[in-house]
Amino acid sequence: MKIYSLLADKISKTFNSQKIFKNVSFNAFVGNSIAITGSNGSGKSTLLKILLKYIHPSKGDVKYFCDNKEIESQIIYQNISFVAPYFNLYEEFTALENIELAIKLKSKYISNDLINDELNRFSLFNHSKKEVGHYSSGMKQRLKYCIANILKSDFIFIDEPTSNLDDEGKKIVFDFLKEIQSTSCLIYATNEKDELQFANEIVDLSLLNLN
Amino acid sequence: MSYSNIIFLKDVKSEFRTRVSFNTQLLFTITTLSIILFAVGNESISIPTTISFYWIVSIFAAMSGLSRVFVKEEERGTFLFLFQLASSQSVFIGKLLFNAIFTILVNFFILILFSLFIDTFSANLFFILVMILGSIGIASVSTIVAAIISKVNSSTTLYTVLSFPILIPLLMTLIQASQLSIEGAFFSEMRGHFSFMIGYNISLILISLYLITYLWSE
Repeated sequence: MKIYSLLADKISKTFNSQKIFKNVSFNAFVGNSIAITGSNGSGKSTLLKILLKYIHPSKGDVKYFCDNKEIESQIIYQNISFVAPYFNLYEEFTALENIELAIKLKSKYISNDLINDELNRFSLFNHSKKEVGHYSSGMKQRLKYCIANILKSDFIFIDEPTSNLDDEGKKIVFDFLKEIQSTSCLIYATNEKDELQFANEIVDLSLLNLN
Repeated sequence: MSYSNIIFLKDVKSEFRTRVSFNTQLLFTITTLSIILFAVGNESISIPTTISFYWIVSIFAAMSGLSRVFVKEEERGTFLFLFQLASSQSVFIGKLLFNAIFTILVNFFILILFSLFIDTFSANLFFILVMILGSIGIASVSTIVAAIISKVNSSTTLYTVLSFPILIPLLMTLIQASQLSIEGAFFSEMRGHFSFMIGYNISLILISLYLITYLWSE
């Protein structure tokens, strides 16, 4: 079994000469989970996007490893999943079509039974043939979790895990967060105290010295 | 199935469901051709004027719709979903394929309308070849410029401003080659134009494939 890990090495981010955070460093690997916390505007979402390699850091570097060998940036998408309330799935496609697209692009072979089980788990089975555009924001968020759980990527990044979710949705997501730690490296950004229980390590951006 | 094909089929399915680009380009083509016909009336138009009209309609139809494939991923907030699923190059090739086939189809539509309504316009095999190579060139420019401007707010204005200088050499060759083909030139007379268009398209696609990896993240 391959061992995947991530190294965040002295990451700093500056927007318009204003320092957002400075020298953030940590190691993450499959089996552990890291919560990024901090006050509003402390750069939690920005840090997550830097870890995803969607935004370049002003200083420092993010490196992904497989069996201690660095994974090239261009192919890192094969190992990551991201769940956040601020991106959309294809609204003109049904839930099943979105799932199939993700499975095909990630070259995974997943049976229809497993897909149906996951849709059931996230209470979406009865809506699986409905266009995502007709979903509520909570259902869209659950579908993103459903896709992440089907893909079972080595690194799972989540921003605001329970955003838009009702109590039932929160319970499903909490179970998912507990479960996914054994197979993936989980990194999530949150301000909710009850969500910190799933982390082995907490990175608090508010405590960083910006000088 | 290659990843680019999956992206291509996704865009085809998406366009089939929303029909935004198709309807925009169709409407643009019909509107501009109607204006030309109203202006010309019963008078006969010379070949150079007909060719100019043809490429004006074609270029502006392309400009009105082709940027959509990249820009809409940002506008509709789906880019981060795509970002975690595919490589920049697969997405670029998929979208280029979609734009190229789409432009060729729209150009065939313009060609049919011109053949029906403008007497001096008679397309032949060489003209169709010029049109196909031109469509690929226009689609290549449109796709990479759309990728560049997709992260900017006033993207529509920038799109035309950035595309035009890159398109000038192609447009000049397209107009000359189209005129020669309609006047019944031999292949030997047009060889230089075909070589230029093939070279232009290949160079642009290769540069774009290199550039897209830098444009992929902010």
